[in-house]
Amino acid sequence: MTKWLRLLAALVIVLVLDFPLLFLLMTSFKSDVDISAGQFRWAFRPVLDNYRHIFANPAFPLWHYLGNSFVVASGSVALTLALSIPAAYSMARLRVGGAGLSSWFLSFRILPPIVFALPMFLLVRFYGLADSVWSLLIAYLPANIPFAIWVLRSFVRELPVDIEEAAAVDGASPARVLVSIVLPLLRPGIVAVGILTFIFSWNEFLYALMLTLQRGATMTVGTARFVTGYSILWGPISAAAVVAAIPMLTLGFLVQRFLVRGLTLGAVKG
Amino acid sequence: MRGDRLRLYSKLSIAPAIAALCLSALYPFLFSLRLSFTDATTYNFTDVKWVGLRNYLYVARDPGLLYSLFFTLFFACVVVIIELVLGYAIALLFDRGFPGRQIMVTLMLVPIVVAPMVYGLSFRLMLNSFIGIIPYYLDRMGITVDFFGSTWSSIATLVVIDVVQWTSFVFIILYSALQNFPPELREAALVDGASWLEAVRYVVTPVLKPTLWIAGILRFVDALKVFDTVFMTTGGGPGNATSSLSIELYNRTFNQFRLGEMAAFSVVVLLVVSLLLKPTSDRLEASYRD
Repeated sequence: MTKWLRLLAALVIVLVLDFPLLFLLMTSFKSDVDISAGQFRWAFRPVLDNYRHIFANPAFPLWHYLGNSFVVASGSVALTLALSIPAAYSMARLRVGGAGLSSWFLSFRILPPIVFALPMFLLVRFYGLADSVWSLLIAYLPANIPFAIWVLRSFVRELPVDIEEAAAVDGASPARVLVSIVLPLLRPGIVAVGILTFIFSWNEFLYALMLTLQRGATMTVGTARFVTGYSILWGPISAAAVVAAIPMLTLGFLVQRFLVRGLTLGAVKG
Repeated sequence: MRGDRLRLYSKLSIAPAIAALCLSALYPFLFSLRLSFTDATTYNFTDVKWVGLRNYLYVARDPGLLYSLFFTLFFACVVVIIELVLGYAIALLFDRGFPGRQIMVTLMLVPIVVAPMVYGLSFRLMLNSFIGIIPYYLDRMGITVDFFGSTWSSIATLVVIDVVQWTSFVFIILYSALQNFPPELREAALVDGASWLEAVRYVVTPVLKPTLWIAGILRFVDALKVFDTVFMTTGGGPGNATSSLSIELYNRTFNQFRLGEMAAFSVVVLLVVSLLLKPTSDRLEASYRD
């Protein structure tokens, strides 16, 4: 009996915490009239107008925003992994840098990004990168690299060290050990870090807002820009937010097993 | 010979990551450090005059900047405490088990992967005084609240938004810690006649304390960065009541064009937050070492 009560309580909690997204989902299927007919109402006739509006409206280049988000997120994943895997391996196994270096890395993750936003804004314009995806690829590095290094380091540490030592005794260089032995074993960690980096970069808002306008704008900024002005097109905006959120839900569920380790930068194994 | 090669490899393997951070964070920081001693504006930030510490004096005297620092600290403390309590309570509820728990855990993770900007947007719609769902129900109960009208209602609204989005973060960390909790320990307490609540209070919580700390610290670090949800709802208002550090810097940079002053503020915030969060990185490093 009490276990059913607990289920009921859990259902209520989940409903409350997920409600903002569910509410946008519902709104995205409402017609203009049903959204703004004087006051809120539950009953409505579901329509696809809002999705039609955002997918085929020259004033809202949805595919352009989605494309930018995809380029920025996957580019961030590639850059972050390429820069972080060798560093994480050396820090975990060869004890390079010690606690000082890993704290130095971490400090960039901990600091609010706004403290770099002003100089970033100016430098990006100075080097002609304003309103481009390149500016975002650079701007996301200070958050992504420390994250990746910390989490990957905790994955490396759990691999059995014997094989690596045997290979080293046989004369394999550290680089060779990393590529041939560690990388295949590290695959779950790499996938987890990659997907989480993708999600962070896709969802990022502050830098995207400051550094891009239109040409380099991502999905989050594109949607937010829809809001400002005199009237807010709630239907299309809700549809755009849902389109931005759905891929992240899918990716999130894929890394559910490693989510705790990722969220705690490897500090809690989960 | 081998030692030399190993040292060379060590250096080569970490150099790219360090170089990337120097380019993307350290260089911008040094650039703003330089700006902070000049009279730069948005229109002119290359050909500038040195003004010594004038910008720092401006920052020290500006009540708005100081307010945003204290508001952000206050906001972070409040949300962290609420999220820790709620997250832990929900984790304990889930830990006791019920049918369909796996699906419920998955659904609990939704807010963590959805962009904060989307949550902010949704709350803006839900709280809209004409078409929002929340004023609609409050109205039927005879209550009229202007959520973004007064200082305290705006702050409370932002706290609620943050709690709705990030309680899941605390929950999932503590839930997985509870799942890994040694069952013998808890059973021993229950066999000794302790109630479930006593077992939680005297056996489970002390063991979970380091995990609670980590969850709280990480939430605190992120709460200090709050921007997206504020930007989408109050924009920092009414007045500057909900102007977090990020919002304050953003608004001033784009509305007032005072680059030198804002660069000085950036530097001050960086130093204050670094000092404040130094124990954080030590704590995380320590938990990696054990």
